[in-house]
Amino acid sequence: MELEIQGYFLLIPFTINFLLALILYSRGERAYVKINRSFAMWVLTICFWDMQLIAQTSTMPEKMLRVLYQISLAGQWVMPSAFLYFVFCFTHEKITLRKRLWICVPAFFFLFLVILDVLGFGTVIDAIRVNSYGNMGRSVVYEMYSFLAWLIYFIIYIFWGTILFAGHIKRTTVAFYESSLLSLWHQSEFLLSSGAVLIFIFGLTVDIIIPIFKPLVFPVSGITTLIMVVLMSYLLFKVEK
Amino acid sequence: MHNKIWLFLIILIFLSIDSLAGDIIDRKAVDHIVAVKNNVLGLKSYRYKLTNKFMKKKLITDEMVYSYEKPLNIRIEWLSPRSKRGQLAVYSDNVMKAAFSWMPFVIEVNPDSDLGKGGYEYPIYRSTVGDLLTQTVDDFKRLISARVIEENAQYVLYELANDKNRANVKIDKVKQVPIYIEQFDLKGNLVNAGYFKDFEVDVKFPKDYFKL
Repeated sequence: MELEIQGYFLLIPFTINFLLALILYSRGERAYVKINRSFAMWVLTICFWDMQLIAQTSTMPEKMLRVLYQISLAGQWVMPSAFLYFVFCFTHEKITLRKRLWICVPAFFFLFLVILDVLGFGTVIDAIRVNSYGNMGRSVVYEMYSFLAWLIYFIIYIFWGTILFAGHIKRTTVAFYESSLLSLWHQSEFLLSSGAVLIFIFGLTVDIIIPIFKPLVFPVSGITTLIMVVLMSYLLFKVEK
Repeated sequence: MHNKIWLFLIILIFLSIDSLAGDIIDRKAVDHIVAVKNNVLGLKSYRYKLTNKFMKKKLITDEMVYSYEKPLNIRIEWLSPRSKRGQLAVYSDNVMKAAFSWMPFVIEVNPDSDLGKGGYEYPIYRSTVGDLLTQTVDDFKRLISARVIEENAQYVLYELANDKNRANVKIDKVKQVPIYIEQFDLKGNLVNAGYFKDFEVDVKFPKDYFKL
């Protein structure tokens, strides 16, 4: 199996994201374990996303590629719930039963769709087709209703999480600013974290919009997710110190 | 003076013989193309790499993998230009479905709509090489000349002309399928052309290959 040049570049964000997720999952003081682990889980789902981006540049046979896509989609399609769970943990929201259901039900539903696809019901992947990465890259064509349902879930959860996150940043920043000018350092950290989430959303949006106008030659989200993960990991390390 | 008139008459006769020769219809050429058409229409399934050229303000070139299976299942995968690379269209059970290159999912399309035709002259269900040959044969009614331009053991190249256009048809003599069909206007400008590469016949397609 060979990769197109983009695939080799995408191995960098995949590796860094995966290592940071492992480090964050296995470290931290008791008070921060939940935040670190929830973030690590979210980053792991992003690793599945990276895995799909890398697979799109590979020359492997179509049957193998389909299996790889199914594996990556199993992780990737629960990303919105993982993100929301992290935001709940980060903002110290009380995770009530209703919130648990909001997190788990769609995640299990989309996981179930992928399992059905693996069993041959064609609920997620409609076809594999050539793409604009080099000569041999192949992408997924999704089943329309599943994809649109997931897109709505993705938009709502990312929007919901971002609003909560931004609200938390604003509250914290104001609190720091009012209490002490020395906390400007902390402000910059929190501004960085909000920037990280915005970069993350920006990358995914660009990857969806660009192909409408011209062929995508490199997935922007591969880079922006890396920036987000690095900035957020830095923040989590810093907060703990 | 008489000599000059005789010379003029002789030249005139030669010129008219030459122009008559240009208008001769080689029945072997016509019969062969009809036989190839019948052969292609009789094929259960086939696949080829099609380079399609057509004039639309400027010359547009598309490259695609074209698959066909009886009764009328069609699958087209675009390879170029880059803006269309990855675009998929299938026609099966009188339904056309397509995934445009920028669209990550499949939608149902009316094959007779502008979207369904995608800038081409014919809808997908009339795009097979059999249809193309049928149209070429139908145009024989207006044929004014048909002749062999080139021939060897592998292929034969015919030139056909009618009152509106001229066509070059190259046939694979072994597989009895077209290698290319080029159509020109009376000024000699290319109007459209189809080049059929790697023509495979009786292909066993995977299950659901024509379903999206």
